[in-house]
Amino acid sequence: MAGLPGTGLGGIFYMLLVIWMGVRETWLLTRGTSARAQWMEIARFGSLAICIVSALWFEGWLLAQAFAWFPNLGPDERSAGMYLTALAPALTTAPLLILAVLLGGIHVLRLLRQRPARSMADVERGLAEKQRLLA
Amino acid sequence: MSGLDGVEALAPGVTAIVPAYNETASIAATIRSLQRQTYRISEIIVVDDCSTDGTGELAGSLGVTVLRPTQNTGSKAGAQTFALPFVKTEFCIAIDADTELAADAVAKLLTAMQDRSVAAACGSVLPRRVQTIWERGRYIEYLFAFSFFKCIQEFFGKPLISSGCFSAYRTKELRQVGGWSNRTLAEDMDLTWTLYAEGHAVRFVAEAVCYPLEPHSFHFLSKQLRRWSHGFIQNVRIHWPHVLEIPYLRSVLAVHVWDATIASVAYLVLLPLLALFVHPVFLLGYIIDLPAVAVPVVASGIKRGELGRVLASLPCFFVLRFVNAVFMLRAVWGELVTGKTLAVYEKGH
Repeated sequence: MAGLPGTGLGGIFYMLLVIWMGVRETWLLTRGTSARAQWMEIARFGSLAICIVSALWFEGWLLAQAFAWFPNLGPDERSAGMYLTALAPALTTAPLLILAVLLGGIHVLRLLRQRPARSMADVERGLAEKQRLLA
Repeated sequence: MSGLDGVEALAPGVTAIVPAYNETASIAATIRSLQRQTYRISEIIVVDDCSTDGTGELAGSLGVTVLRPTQNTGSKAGAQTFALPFVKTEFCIAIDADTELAADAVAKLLTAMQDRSVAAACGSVLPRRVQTIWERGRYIEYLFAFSFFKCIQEFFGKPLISSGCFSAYRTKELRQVGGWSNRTLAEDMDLTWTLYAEGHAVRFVAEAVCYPLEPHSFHFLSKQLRRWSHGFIQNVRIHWPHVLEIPYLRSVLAVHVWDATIASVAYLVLLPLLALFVHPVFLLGYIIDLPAVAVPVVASGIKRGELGRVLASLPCFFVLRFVNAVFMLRAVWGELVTGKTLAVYEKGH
């Protein structure tokens, strides 16, 4: 399936969207336009998101235990420290940063693609031409 | 597009369009599932796209309308659009000739169409057969997508694609955009994003379920993945200026493009290099996100009473994902770098 997310950026993006679901629906609630069905959806996906994060944390704990019990499987202790120092931001902050840059980038692209404002002279020329064609 | 102006008033009801090329093995089951729908379908139109195996005759024997173009239309889009001028009802559904529907699938989709702003609606897709490694991988892919991502897209009113294997459309709006185009190999994606660009709404109804046949062998899977990956890039190239102006959709698509391209490079190039030159532990990167995939699909499997099937199929998802990445990078290379765009439509079964 083309573009099916599930790793890194896509997974994080949809997890953040689950949080945004709650934020948006809260704002709609203050305006009196929220719906019960939407809150049930938020509860469902919020529960899934919490389970996913918990499972990922548990997986990390299991891996750490596995490397402790079977040192030959993982990098040596000194390298492990280096990798963790290098990888920890890569697995946490970097995807969030990339996502922010990606989503910000599309807005910048939108702004760059917007047509420049027409001058009044251009508008008047356009109107005059239209009137000539209709005459 | 000529003949699609829909000058004639449309009657209430729904017409099914079934494009078919050499589908004798599956079309009877498709037609019967349409005839058994809780919502009575006004007319079933099978477009026999110059089949050589008696597909048209078989369909005709089941009491449906069979249309036969004078020459093969070359694609599913061509066959479906061929039938569009013959639709006399307010709604139409397009369904693949290898797809069966849950008995209430049409009724559920049409409920979403009661909102006049909705021009298209789609449902959940699950493989009808789950046996080979490829079918199992696809089963998990679909469960993951249709129980999680697509539901979230729907919450924000922007499902990314109205699936080509089974979707409902408002006939008038469908004609106004010219039906299904064969300018890309993913006509469902092209049509969905065109409808969005025209200001229409698209809905995803998770309870409306269809069951297509998925590729059971690598040979057929490769044809399908080539078509899907090239179709994705072709559509991004055509639609990105319009999609940029559509909130939520632009963000969803940007992330999907990233995952399809950059993440694929990381998957196929970066991880092996790290494993080879730094430490083999980096191979864990191929399955490190197992919990993120497993939690939603296990939850969905429990709900469907298919937990055993889900657990047995989970490993196949990671194999299929690897293969997906290969085809996607090949498509990016072909479509964007060498300019060798794929134009030939090949069936996936």
